[in-house]
Amino acid sequence: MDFQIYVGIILFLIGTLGFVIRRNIIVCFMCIELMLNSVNLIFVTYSHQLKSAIGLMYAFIIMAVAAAEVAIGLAIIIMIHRLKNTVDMDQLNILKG
Amino acid sequence: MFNYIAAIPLFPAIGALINGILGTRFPKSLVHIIALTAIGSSFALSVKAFFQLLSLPPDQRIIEVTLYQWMASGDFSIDVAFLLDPLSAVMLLVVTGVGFLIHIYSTGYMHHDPSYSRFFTYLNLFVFAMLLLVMGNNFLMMFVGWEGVGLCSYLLIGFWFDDHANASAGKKAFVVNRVGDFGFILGMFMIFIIFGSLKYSDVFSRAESLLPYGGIMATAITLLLFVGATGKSAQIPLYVWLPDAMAGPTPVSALIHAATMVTAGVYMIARCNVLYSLAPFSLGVVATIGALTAIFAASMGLVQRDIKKVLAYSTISQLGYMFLGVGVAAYSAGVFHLMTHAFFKALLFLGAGSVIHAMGGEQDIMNMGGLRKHIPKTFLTFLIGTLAIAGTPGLAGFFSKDEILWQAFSSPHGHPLLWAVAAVAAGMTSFYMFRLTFLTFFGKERMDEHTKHHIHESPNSMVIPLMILAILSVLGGYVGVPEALGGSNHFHHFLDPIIKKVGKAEPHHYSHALEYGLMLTSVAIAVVGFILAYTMYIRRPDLPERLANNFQGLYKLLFNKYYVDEIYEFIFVKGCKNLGTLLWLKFDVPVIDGIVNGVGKVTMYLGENVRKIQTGYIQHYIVGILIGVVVVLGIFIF
Amino acid sequence: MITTYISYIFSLLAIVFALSTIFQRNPVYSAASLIVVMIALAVNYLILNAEFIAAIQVIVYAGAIMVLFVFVVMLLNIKEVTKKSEQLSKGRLFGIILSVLFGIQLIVVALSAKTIITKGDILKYAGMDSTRIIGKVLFSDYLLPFEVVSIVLIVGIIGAVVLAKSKE
Repeated sequence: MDFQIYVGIILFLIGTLGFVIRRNIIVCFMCIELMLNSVNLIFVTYSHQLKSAIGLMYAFIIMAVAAAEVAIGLAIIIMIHRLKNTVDMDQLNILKG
Repeated sequence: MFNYIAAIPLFPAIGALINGILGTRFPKSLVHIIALTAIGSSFALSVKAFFQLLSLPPDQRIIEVTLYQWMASGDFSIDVAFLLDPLSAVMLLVVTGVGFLIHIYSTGYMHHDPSYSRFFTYLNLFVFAMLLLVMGNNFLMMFVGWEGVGLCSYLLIGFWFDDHANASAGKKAFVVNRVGDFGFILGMFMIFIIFGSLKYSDVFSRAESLLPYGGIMATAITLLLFVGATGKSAQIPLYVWLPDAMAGPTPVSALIHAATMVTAGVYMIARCNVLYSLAPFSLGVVATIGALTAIFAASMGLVQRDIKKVLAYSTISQLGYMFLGVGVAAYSAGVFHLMTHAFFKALLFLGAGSVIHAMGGEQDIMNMGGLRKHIPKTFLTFLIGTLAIAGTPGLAGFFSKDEILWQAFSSPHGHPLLWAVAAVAAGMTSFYMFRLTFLTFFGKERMDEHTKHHIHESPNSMVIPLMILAILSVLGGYVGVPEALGGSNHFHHFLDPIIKKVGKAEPHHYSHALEYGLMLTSVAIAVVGFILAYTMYIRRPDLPERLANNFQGLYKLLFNKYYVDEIYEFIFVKGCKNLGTLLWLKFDVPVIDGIVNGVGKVTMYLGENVRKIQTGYIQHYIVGILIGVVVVLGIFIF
Repeated sequence: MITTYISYIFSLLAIVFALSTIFQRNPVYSAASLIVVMIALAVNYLILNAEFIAAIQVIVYAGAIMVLFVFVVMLLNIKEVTKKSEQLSKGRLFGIILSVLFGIQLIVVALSAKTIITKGDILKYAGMDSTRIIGKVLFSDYLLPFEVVSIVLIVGIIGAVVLAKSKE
């Protein structure tokens, strides 16, 4: 099951790429989820390889935290949409300076 | 332990403190009572100390009193300690005695001055500093006193500072002094490096073993110390401040610039006689400069018109004699002349002050004349002073000056040429002093009617010190009558213990006949000077003007003091100013201001540009994170 | 043996659909692709003997989180971004290069990693399946993270409610 690690890395890479490329906030957010999932995969792989329960624990907790994060993140996105009526990242530079 | 010796400098210090802080609130009588009590007590204690010293056998006449340890750092430690030995006892008596008389005189002279208390504060402060100088038992204490008297000189010269010229004169005195002090400090450093201590007892006892005879160390130390002496005691080339210092009140000129401060250099050399005896080259330098100064200053005094300026040049010239004396290793002769000079020069200055007081402020002798009928007491004392300084046999100046001349000729470090120069200067001294006397007190009365009306004899507070000093000028020489004339030269024997015999030079043994012959020669020269002055100013008063017209170039040269002040101004003052301006414009403004301003500019520039990183776009921030991660991972991988 | 092949297939599936996620124009299609990725990963977890995690993945991630995503996409009524196609500005290009670089570095690290066989604590729980193991570990050794996670979830709930409330 060694190759799973490389799968995880590739997924992480794709997630980063997507984040950098896409202009839509929600799709960017989805790429973050993709990155989190890839990390989960790597944790579980190592847990299986090293015969340790820690990896499973981490995966579990990451998932819980990701859930909370998504909830709040989407709420923020909705607020931004209310403010600027757009989800284009290139237009969100209010914090400039 | 608190010995009464420590009280000697303490009283003037307290007097200065009280008068300084509270003096303006006191009535004038209280001010001078405090000041006079202070210095009078010091004088009384000095007398007591002198007699205590006399009670001890000659080779044990050293009393050291340590007050406390001033500083200690590593192997360097200095105590505030006082040394009482024959030399310092002589200086003590001179300083406090003449100082006391001058204080009394000042109560009359400065009576109408609004800054009465300030004057007495400074006078007491000066005496305190001078006492530290002569009583300290290590070089640093001497230096503290040295600087202190320089400071008081500045304060007192510029006493009437509302007039800009007076303030400038004070400034000039201080700055020129400072140049000399630099040499003194370097000398002290060298002493410390070689001896590891600044205490006289440590230095002088080991000097012969640590300094090779005639070696470069001894020469360097003594020359550097002498530089300090040229500044303080107004020798060539640092004498230029003394004539200007006449801008101060006359008692100041008497005390500081005649009797005490300017003699500090002579005292210093006498104290360090061991070091100087180990460096014959330095002795030669001292003697030569002393002789040259004597004749140089005397030549300038020949044509001056201000009564105080004549006396100032006379002081410089007489100081030259003292340095000539110590320069031929006749240390006690130099100190002897110091003492007698204090008497008659103080007398002359105070007398001049009396004349100025009588003339309502006039100082130009060409506007005086025939005053002997109006102010007879002043005239009598002034005449005694003049006779003393000219070297009239029997008066104080004769014995001291003659001893110096004899030593200049006969000492192993002496030279007949030195004697000749000094003898000519003696003739000039006699001439210009009698010129001064004749023009002031004899002859036609050249002042205007208004001034003539107001001529009056000075009050007793001024006249009595004059009379006491006149008595001293007459009798003071008898402590030092040389053996050739049958005396036993008590003064020389008194000071003998502090002079260490060094070196291989054998004193020549001249016959007494030679000594008589030289004595007669110097008396003859003095008489010649008197006759010349008498002829030119009493018999044929038109003669001076005709001579001046015939030798115009020489006259102008002498009258303008050889243009030395102008030369110094051009080379040193303008030079320093130009250098300062150049450094300011070329270095200070562009480089230093540039660096400081540059730091500010760089910060602003950085700020304006780094802030552009914050664009507000999240994706840019992610890219930033990625950069960091890539770099760190890269470092770890490689 | 056969599990290895299945894991190959589903891994490939995951990668393909991940690429689809980032390259699709329509955000709904992106979300849908992401769901497929998650399910593929869940299968991988199953093969890796982590049944509990697989179940949680499907239930929580694919079932709740992605549904949230789809809700928000629909809610905001996002038009497709048709104007100026994703401009590959200099910044973006730089980002792409950097990410690739990063990926390469990670692969290098993974390649050079040496597996250390530690005395894993799964031996303590030998013979149990992963669910039981997680249960035991969660409530004994890792109790603190568990409690903290519950606080995080509460914060998430409250935060989401506060944030998304309309302004009256």
